[in-house]
Amino acid sequence: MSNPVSSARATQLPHLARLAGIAGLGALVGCILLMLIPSTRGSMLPAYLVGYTFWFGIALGGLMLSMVHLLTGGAWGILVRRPLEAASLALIPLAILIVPIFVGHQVLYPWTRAADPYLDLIHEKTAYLNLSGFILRTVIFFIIWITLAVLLNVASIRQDKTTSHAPTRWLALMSGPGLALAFLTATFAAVDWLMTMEPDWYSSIYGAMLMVGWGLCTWCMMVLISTFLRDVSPVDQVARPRIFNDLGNLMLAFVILYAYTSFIQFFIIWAGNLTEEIPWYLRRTRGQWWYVMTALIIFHFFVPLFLLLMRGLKRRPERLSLIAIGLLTIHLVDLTWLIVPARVREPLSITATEIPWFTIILIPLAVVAIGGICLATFLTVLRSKPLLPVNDPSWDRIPAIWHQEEMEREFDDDDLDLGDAHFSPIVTGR
Amino acid sequence: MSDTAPTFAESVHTPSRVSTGEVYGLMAEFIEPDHVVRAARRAYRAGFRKMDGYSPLPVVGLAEAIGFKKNRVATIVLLGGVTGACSGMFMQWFASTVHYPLIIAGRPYASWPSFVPITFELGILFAAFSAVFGMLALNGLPRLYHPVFNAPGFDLASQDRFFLCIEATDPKFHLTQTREFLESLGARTVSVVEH
Repeated sequence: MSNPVSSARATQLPHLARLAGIAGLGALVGCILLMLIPSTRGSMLPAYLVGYTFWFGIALGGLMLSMVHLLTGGAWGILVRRPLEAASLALIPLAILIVPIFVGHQVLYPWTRAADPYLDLIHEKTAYLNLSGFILRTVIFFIIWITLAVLLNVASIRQDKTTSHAPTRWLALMSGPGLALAFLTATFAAVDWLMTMEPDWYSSIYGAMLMVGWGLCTWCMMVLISTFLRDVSPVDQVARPRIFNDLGNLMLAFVILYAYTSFIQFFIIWAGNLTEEIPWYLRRTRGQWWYVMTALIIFHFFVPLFLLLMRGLKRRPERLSLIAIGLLTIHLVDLTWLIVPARVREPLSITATEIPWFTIILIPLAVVAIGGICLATFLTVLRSKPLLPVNDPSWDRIPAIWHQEEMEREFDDDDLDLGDAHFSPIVTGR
Repeated sequence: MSDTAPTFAESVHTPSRVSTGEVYGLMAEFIEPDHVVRAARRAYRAGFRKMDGYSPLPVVGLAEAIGFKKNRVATIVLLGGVTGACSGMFMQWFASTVHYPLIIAGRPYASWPSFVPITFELGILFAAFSAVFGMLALNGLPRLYHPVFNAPGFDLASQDRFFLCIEATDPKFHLTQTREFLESLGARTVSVVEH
């Protein structure tokens, strides 16, 4: 397959993939060692779950957002479809990387412990909350997601090689049901992996909230990879300010949607003020966590909201990348805030007001471990295919962007000599 | 190419009040959207500022070409939205702490989370109204009479013709020299627009 990538940036991709893979494997060995030591196990596993949720979200976001593009179209898809598809294949290593969470279930999930104060509260829920059901569901979810991701990638390559519309039609046909299936399974996954850490608590918007956050991270990652590759042929044809503006707008929409879902969950629980629901928020808004929550309101909503309203920032890839890095960081803080305070000994207690700093220190290790392996997969897959989907129907929209830029350039080069003598200021005296 | 529009010669000889000095501007007619953009840019380069483009469809780059760099609607919408949000928050705070304090579910009077939905709604409402009315005001609408409709063949601006009008209030405007300039830009016709 011909791949007309010539720039130095593109030849760096395999090197970067190797580097990410080595760093990831090294950090993973560290994570597993810390899980094996009994005294650090309780800190390492929540940190690992934070890192896992973060990267899983980007991989699943790659799957879901590429299906969104196949249904809606849009010029932005030409730029990010291949990175999105490559991200979706990171679900394959993630299916193996979840094993430590299965093994360490007793640390994370109170309902798997033989004697736990939670068990009195949840014994009616054991039909759902049991270890074999938990593992079985996760395996089924991964089979569904990986099947969708592989089908998507295979059909996408077929679409590149033929001028027939059959692969394009098949891609659109599978995306509708695929998206619905992915949304349902991801909701259950969010409930299983995260919400059941506090098994007496429930919130119906939880899965949607997590997914919107994952989508936001996916957009940020797409901005970063597109900025990195923007001078590489043939990506430079479509890595234009107008397209980055679109990506910035999509980030803005997800920032607002995430604020909506997380506020509305808080609002309903705050208004209800029920004994079994309110401790979830008390654990996250008291003591040192209050500062984390305040920082989230400011830096996960207000600051990106106003920054992403500015067109000048969205049209410059370097500046948009800085916002993307900031959003990825603050979302990692948000996932920490969701996951880490959940580890409480007593149900209904609000004692977890201190931040467990040792766990926090281990989060970057987990992020490098899982992220390194995911990025290695992502970059290897990205390198193996043409960087742009050449037969995507959304190519229709690209010439209009080129035309506008051509007109703007012509204006800059327009050195028409208008003759000062002829057009010296004329005062008509009227 | 249809010949329904009056030619240059016809437009000069149509009965007019040009001699009375009541000139609104000079209207140049173009066939292609790119030509009107190019003409507008050159007119801007030549120092003309009081001009406007007329087109049956959105022409990419035309607004920028006549020097319309910054759209003030965005600022008006932002101000409207902030005003709406602040007034929504104030209204609820005033009602529940000063005007008619009620203890609800044992919470403080000023329980901000319950104010958020209305604050948001009023912010959106004011922003939407600011967008519509701000746009109308900046466009000078509603307006029952506009001299550009006196230009011969101007109704084609809503079909397949593109127009550039340099207005007489521009300090560089001169009836014959500006006409020659517009003709040099490749206008199909140039006609005098009366008040």
